Amino acid sequence: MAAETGTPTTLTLKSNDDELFSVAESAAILSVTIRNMVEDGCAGGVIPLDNVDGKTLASVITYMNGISAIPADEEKKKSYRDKFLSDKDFETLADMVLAANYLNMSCLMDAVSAKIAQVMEKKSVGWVRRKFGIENDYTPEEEAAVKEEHKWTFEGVETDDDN
Amino acid sequence: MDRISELPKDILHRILYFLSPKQVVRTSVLSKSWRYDWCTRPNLDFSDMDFIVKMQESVSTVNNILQRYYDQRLCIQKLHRSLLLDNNLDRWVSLLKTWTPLLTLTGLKKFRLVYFGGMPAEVFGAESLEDLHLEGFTFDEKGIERMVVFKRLRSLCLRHVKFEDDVLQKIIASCPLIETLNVEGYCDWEWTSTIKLNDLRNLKNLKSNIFTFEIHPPSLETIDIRCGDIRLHRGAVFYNLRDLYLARVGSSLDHLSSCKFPRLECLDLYDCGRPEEIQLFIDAPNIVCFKCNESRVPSISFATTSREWKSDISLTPDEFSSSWFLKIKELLKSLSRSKISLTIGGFDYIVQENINTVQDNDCDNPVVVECLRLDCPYPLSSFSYLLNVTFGICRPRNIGNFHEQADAEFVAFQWKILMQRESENQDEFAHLLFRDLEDVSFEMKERNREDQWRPASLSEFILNCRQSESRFALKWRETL
Repeated sequence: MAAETGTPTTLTLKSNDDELFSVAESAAILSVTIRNMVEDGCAGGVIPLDNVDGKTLASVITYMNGISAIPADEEKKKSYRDKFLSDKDFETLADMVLAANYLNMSCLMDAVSAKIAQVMEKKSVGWVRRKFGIENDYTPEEEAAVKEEHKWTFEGVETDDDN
Repeated sequence: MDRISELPKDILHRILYFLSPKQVVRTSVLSKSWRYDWCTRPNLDFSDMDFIVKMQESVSTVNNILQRYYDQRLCIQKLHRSLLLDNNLDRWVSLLKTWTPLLTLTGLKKFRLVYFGGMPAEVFGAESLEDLHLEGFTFDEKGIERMVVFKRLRSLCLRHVKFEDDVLQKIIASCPLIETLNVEGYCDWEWTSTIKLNDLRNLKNLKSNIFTFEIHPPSLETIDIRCGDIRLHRGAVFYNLRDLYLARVGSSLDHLSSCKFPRLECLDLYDCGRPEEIQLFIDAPNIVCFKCNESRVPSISFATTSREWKSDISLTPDEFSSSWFLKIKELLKSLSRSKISLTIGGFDYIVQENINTVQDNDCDNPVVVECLRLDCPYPLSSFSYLLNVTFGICRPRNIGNFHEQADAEFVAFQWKILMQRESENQDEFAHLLFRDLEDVSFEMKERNREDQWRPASLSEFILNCRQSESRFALKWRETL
């Protein structure tokens, strides 16, 4: 093992579009999926990650390296996560949340989910539909009925701002 | 379909988990596929006050939601419900009676109920529970009779739950694997029985502000007892205890001296020195932090191999006297291998004659104190006497940290005394006060930042006292 030889073990990860990435084992095992493979001894050669594309994997690896460099300080980790996600658009976030789910990285999964929720919070229904490209398949009557059922949630301030 | 709507349901539920109760309900209007997504997320949270008030207008809405979970065999992992301000109490109780057994079947793990009234006995049949948090209930015997053995329960929190003395012991007997026990009540409740926790082999965390507890389990990692009482077995070894917090514990703490705490890192005593003065010997080889906030000066010594540990001593005396300061000196000596912070405060009117007789008359090296904080005394003019007597028992490296606007005037006064060495009595007294003091500098840094302290002027601090903290750094002459 790495600890004995003194040099950190590096793993090679392969995305589904055949890009190869080197990453320190200590960072990569943030992913329970990868950790299990390492523990089962399947990590000798290249680890294929069939559900993640190269662009997303590069981003996830940036995160793995960044977060594992921070010592056990939840505050600092949280602020790193916030900063890491601050400039990501929704398409990227959706790719990340799927990748985090597949790689079984609960901290990234929660951070991305919370980020997406934060985008939706306090926004009008119309704004959320436009932002996420959700097609309204209710008839006007149906929509009015659903709104009526939960009338109280439509009281108060809504905002359509982008922030 | 769009990206977000086609995310797998469990991911979508995860996102909804982070939305406020109000916003999550609104997602039902987005499109047909979103119609019911919100009400099948795994955390059912009826705690938001706005949400409760609106939802309580129809018990049937909640009923429908629960029905949907049950029909789809979805597992509600967390059910959090506050039923305060409730005018439909009977209907809610019957709802709980119906649903608790059914939810148990689907594997309800965490159940948090906050409400005031009688406790539906059905809750005690929920065998799948891992985490039970009840607030504001009254227990009756019927509930206890229905109680099953909670084989999976790890965490039990009972806040402001009323029951007969022996009921808690019965409840505890039904939770053999419990790890976290939190019993909080109103301090004016009177309890007579001693709760024995000796059989809880997995108990790690204990928190309570009532009851007398007989504690033995070597599994305990944290103990937090306020206002209650504890009994320890003489000579017990707390193999796993890391944090011990005792506040206003009524009994004598003597028995702590006979126990061993091989992993104890934090010991925190708050106002435990009544009626008996604290006299303690603590066997804690790995202590990291000792905190104590008392009015009577405790007598405490540690047996430890810890190289770096700190003591945070805060003393607010009933009355000042020379002997009180001499006791502090003894305490500081016994803690001299730790990094000491000393706060002395809560001054009433200081009678100078009572305190200015402390003489540095023994030959020991004075104990170094990392940081000294003296509260602003009354009258302010007695500060120099106070400083004198304090310098008689210790050698502070720093006096501070001042970080409130209210401190500014006091800092200016200290500046006059420490920096300009002005004292009302320009006589022998002043000479005594500053005899061994070589140099004093005033330093400042931005508040809550790990910046370096840097030299500053008084006016600079007064201008920036909202964002900064300041201190006086003292350099002492080598004596002896």
